[in-house]
Amino acid sequence: MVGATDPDAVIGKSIYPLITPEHRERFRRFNENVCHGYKGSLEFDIVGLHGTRRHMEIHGAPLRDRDDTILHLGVARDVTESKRAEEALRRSEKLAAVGRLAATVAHEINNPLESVTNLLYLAKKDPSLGIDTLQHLLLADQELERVAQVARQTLGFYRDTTNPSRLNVAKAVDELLGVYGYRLRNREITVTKAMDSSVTVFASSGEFRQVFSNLILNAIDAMTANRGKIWIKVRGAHDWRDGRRGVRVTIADNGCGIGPEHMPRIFDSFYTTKQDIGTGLGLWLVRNILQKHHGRIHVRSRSNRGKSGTAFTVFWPDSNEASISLPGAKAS
Amino acid sequence: MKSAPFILVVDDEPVVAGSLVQILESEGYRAAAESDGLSAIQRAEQDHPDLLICDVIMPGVDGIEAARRIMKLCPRTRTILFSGRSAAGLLQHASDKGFRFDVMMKPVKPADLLGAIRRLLEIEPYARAV
Repeated sequence: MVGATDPDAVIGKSIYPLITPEHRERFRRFNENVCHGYKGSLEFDIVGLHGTRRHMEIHGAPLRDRDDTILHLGVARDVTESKRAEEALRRSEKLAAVGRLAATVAHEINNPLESVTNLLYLAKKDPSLGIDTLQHLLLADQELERVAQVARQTLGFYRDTTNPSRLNVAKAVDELLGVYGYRLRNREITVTKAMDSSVTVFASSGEFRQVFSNLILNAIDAMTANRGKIWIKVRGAHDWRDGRRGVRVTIADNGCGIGPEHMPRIFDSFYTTKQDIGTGLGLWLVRNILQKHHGRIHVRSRSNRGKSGTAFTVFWPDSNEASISLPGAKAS
Repeated sequence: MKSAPFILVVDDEPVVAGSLVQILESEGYRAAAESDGLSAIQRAEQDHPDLLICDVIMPGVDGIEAARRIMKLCPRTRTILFSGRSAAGLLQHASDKGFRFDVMMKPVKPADLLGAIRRLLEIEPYARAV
């Protein structure tokens, strides 16, 4: 529980130093109550002898001896794992509910979007249009594309899961870089790739593209000046926690970095630092898709002037691990 | 002279179907709209369209079932499915029966749709689905 290998490390020692500071006062009051004759229970956190945080539950009851002196009987147990499982279940239920809602709303939003897109296309083709009206329609079309983009990002979460297939990761990333080729060239951004071209993963291409297009776009948007640099690394990997096989993709940039004040909230929905161009949904969506597939995302960032940059590392587990190939030829 | 390809558009949203018919006609295709799967099957049996553009989620006979039946009735008809939401269950069911479809997600840009139509009608004359 506390990670002691030798009984002498704990026998006769006070538990208070192990209790996390925010829970110490509550623990003290709980003990006092029991010593005054009340029984009860309490949940609190400890940090064990080796620095591991555990979630504990204690039940305490007063025992009276013949002299009516109250003794404290306490039974504590480690509930870390059951709390974790409970939280995972709550999260998956929440995700399922969001998915159902998104699917329903998607249908209601995307049909009128389709109609308006078509009608604007028809209106723009009218040869009798004045130049001003045409400009208005072109602008309306651009604005509509923004709506469609938000709808795709938010409501597309459960989309395109139709035909998961075995994807070549390096090829998929290259295709995405092709899509953003114009933006990269326009801003003179250099992309350096170190991609194992043999790594494949069984995934829905739509979800895969959504995750990495968001990360690549963020890297592009992080460039405050032209001639920035982006590094992309793709390699077969194992999850260090449970040994699952999959692919690890790192997308790093030397852009402006993420300030420490923003870091705790970057995966929140509708949180953006890109005032004019951000929806605040990209990283939220990335995290949700990865959670759905039991993947992981890790971010490191520095916003110091002259040394700034961000690196996102994604681990995408392979659901059909028999056919992932590790390792293979390096492509660049 | 060879007549323009005939395209059957099926969508239970009349504005979607109607505007698509107009776009297709403006590009020189012959086009007609139906608003449900059953009417689409009857129309296809009668007119043998070169291409079917069909919404997936519709009341009654859904788009995948309609497309499957039309493919049996008119083997030369190519198919484009489009949908406003994921239809994973329906697609899996069709796939289990040997019909594999991919779906364009709404809103589909008309230029993208016209590109897909051209590819199916001109470059891959015997392809049956995109």
